[in-house]
Amino acid sequence: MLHGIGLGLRQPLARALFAEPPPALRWLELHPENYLGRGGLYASLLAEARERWPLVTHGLSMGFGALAPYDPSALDALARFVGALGCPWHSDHLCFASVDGVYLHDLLPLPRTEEALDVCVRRIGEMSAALPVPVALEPISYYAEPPCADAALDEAAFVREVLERADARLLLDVNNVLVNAENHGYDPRAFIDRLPLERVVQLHVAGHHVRADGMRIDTHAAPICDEVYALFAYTMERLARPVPVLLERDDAFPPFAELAAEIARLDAIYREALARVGAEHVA
Amino acid sequence: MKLADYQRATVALGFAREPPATLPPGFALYREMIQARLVDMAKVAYARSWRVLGHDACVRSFARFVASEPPSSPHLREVVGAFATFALRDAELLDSAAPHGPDLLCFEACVWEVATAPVPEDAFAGVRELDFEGALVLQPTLRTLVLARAVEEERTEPHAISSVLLVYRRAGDDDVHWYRATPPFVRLLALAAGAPASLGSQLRQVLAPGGEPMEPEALSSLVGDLGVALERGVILGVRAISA
Repeated sequence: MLHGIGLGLRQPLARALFAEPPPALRWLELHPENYLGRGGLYASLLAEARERWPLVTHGLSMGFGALAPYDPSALDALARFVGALGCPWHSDHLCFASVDGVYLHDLLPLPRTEEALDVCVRRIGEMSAALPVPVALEPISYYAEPPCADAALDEAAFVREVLERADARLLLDVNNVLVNAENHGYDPRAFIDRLPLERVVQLHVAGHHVRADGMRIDTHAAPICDEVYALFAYTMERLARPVPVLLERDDAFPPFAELAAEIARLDAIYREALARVGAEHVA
Repeated sequence: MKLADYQRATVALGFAREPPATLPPGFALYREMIQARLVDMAKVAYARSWRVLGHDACVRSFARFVASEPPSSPHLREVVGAFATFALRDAELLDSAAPHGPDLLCFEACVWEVATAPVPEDAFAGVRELDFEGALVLQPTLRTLVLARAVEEERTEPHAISSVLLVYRRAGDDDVHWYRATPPFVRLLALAAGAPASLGSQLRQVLAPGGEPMEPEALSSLVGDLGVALERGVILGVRAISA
């Protein structure tokens, strides 16, 4: 069973990570898009990583709000990749990232409508049927409300509906929850309380940027702030069971020792939270 | 607004010359984010070209690129590769560029592609040491690049010199390498990349296309090129020609 603190495998971090892995590090996450059909350095990194740590895949380009069915050859390649790595599940985002064959290379919010719900359930169903492992979805951070006159669901209700109708797993990004709560004015703890936490298979934790106007931008390019650490502790207590927790860092990479310190702090919070609720930590 | 209309409006917001007015003002941020992510990757991939061609000119060219050819690949690296192809025919970018700008971008785009070009699993199957009966087996990552100026070494002035550069990555080595090849060896590589034929017959095609006797010096020079290519990993050996 995968549990404890993991790190995203990123090329700029790899050399330091492989040379001196943080003691608390238990696993790595990677984006299939960065490795599929790719040789050279990326193939070498993947080969070394899979020898040393359990791996989990997290997609960037197959948002579940895609209007068109997934390309069968892309699904097949993903299935072979995920299967070969022995991943326990594969995740992608509750968003749309492409339409009419055009890829945005970003994660765009979906309107919380029946139409969007139906599309997501169909895409998750397609992916679940194609992959040898369960599928998890990650609700994204978003900065504007999509225009949707018939929106009847709030964010938590929409996530819950998709999860239940698609019978999917949840990848809960604690940083996304905080960023959205601050930007859109709601209580992040109350939001987490309304999610079907029994479906959580993995957490993400990251840093974000606070603009001069107070808007929070989910950059993965800053240290984790105290508010996110606190929300992470809260989430762990609510989960009350060991889960894999990923530190995401995608840009503005600091000296690796700083990331190692963040991993150590996350691990300490993780263990303390599990101890507080009497849950057994898996060594 | 229907889901499809909203999603298409967002694509237009991300890539069109003039963003649509159908989305709420808060979406303007997404245009910045979408283009910045792609531009940043291109800037890393083509760092020297970016400096030579100028940041603002490159950003404007990138905006023209995504407006006319919105990204059709889920892989950022392929979008970055497609931008180089576009930029190399973007008159607005190149008309005012330094003379070696296009060659430099061509070179960096080639290095970018070769750096992570996949190697088929069976690339080395049946490969044996060089002999004249077998068909040459080329390094699968090998690309030949015709340049009008020497741009491959950053420390040297990019003077005019017509050359063919061999750009490749060896098995088990993550670095990209390159060197200039002689014209006869380039012709031999072109033949080897075509229909399988024996190395001996291809040497004759290069050195004595009309059936005349081969010049011993030319043969010796080309065999020397073969030795260098073998040593550098540009060619892997030969493989039996299947019937």
